[in-house]
Amino acid sequence: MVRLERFGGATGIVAVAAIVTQFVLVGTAGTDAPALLRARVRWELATFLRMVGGLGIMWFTTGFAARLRRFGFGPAGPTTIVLGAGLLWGAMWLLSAAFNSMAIAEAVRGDAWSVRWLSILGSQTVLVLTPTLMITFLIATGVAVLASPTFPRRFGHAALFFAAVRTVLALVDWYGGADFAMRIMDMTLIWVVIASVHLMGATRPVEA
Amino acid sequence: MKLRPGRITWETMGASAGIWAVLWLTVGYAIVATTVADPSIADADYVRALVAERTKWEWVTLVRLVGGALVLWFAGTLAGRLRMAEGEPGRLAGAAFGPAVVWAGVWMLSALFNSSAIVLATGSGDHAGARLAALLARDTPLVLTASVMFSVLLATALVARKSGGFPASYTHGTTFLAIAFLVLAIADWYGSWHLSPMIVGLAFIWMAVTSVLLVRGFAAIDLPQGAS
Repeated sequence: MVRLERFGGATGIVAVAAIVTQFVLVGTAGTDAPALLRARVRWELATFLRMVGGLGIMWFTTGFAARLRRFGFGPAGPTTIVLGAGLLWGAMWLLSAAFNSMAIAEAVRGDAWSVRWLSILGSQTVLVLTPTLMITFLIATGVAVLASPTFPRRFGHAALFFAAVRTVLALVDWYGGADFAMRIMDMTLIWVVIASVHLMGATRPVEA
Repeated sequence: MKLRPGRITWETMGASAGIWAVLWLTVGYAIVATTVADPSIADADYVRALVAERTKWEWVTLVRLVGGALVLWFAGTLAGRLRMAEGEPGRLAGAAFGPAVVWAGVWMLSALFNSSAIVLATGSGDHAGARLAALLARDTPLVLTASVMFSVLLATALVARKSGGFPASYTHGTTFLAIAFLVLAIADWYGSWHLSPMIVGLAFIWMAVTSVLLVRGFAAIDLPQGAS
C-alpha cells in the first residue's frame, strides 16, 4: 500500500512535468491546419504528453486516495469523491489528447473546418472542466485531511483555501471579462506537486 | 461513533448532493425551455438565436458543470454507503461507483460541448461547428443516461437485496427501474418513440429519492472514529 502511495506521488510529478512541457510546446503554435502541419512534430509530442499527463494524474489520484482512505474516513468518506474527481480530470486530459490527435489527422487530410472544430474542443476540454473538477477535488481533500492524521492539518486548510480562491477565480472567469483559466491551471499543477511530495514521504503519517 | 440525528456533518451534506444535483440540472433544462436556439434548425438561424441569447446558454454551461460536480459528490457518498451495507471488499459498491462517476462526466461533457458551441458561434463564426457542438451538448446526456444509470441501479439493487439495509419499497423500486431503463432504452433506440427525456427525468427522481434515504441513513448508522 505504501509503495502504491509513493508511486502515486512520483507519477503526480511526472504528470505535472508532462502537462507543463506540452503547454510550453504548443503555447505559441497556431491551431489552424497550415500551422498544425508546420509544427506537426510539436503537436504530436503534445498529444503524447497529454496522454502521459492524464494517466499520471490517474495514478497520482489512486495513490492519494489510498493514503487518505488508509488513515481517514474509511469507505463512507470524501476519499471516494477525491478518487472520482481525479479520475475524471485524468480522463479529461486523455479526451483532449484524442481531439488533438484527430485535429492533426484532419490537417493531414486537408480539412480545415474539422481541424478548427477539433482544436477548439481540445482546448475547451482542458479550460472548461479543470476548475469544476479541481474545486470538487480540493474540497473533498480538505475534508478528508482534516479528519485524519496522514497529512499536516495546514495541508487540509490550504486545500479548502485554494478551493475557495479557485471558486472566485472560476466565477470571475465565467461571468466577467477576465481570463483566469490558465491561472487556475497553474495553481492546480503546483498543488499536485506539493501533494506528490507529501505522498513520497516528505511528511510521515502516523501508524494506521 | 454514533451520529446524533439531525446533526449536520460532511456525510449528511454529501448525502444531500443528489437533491442539489437534481435541482441544478432541472434549472438547466428550465433555462433551455425558455430559449429558441435549437440545434435541429439551420446553421445560420441557430447561431443567430444563440448569439442573441448567449447569457442563457452561458448559464446552462455553469449549471451543468455544477450539476456534474454534485453528481460526482453523490456518487462518492452512495458508493460509501453501499460499501458499508455490503461489507469489504465492496465489489458491487465499486460497480455502482464507476458508472455513477461516468454519469457525472456525461453532464460535464455536455457543459463542455455547450461552451464550445458558444465559442465557435461568437469567436470563430463557425456556424456548422457551433450547431454540431450544441447537438452534442443536447444529446450526450439523452443518449448515455439510460445505459449508465442502468448499471448504477443494478449494482445498488443487488446490494440492497443482499444486505437488507434499505427499505423494501426502495429495493423493489430500484430493481424495477433498472429493468425499466433497459426496456425504455431499447424502445428509444429501436422504436420511433422519443423516450430519452423521460429516462433522464426518471434518473433524476431516483437520485433525489436515494439522496433523501442517504441523508436519513447517515443519521442512524455507526461510522468509524474520526468520521464526524
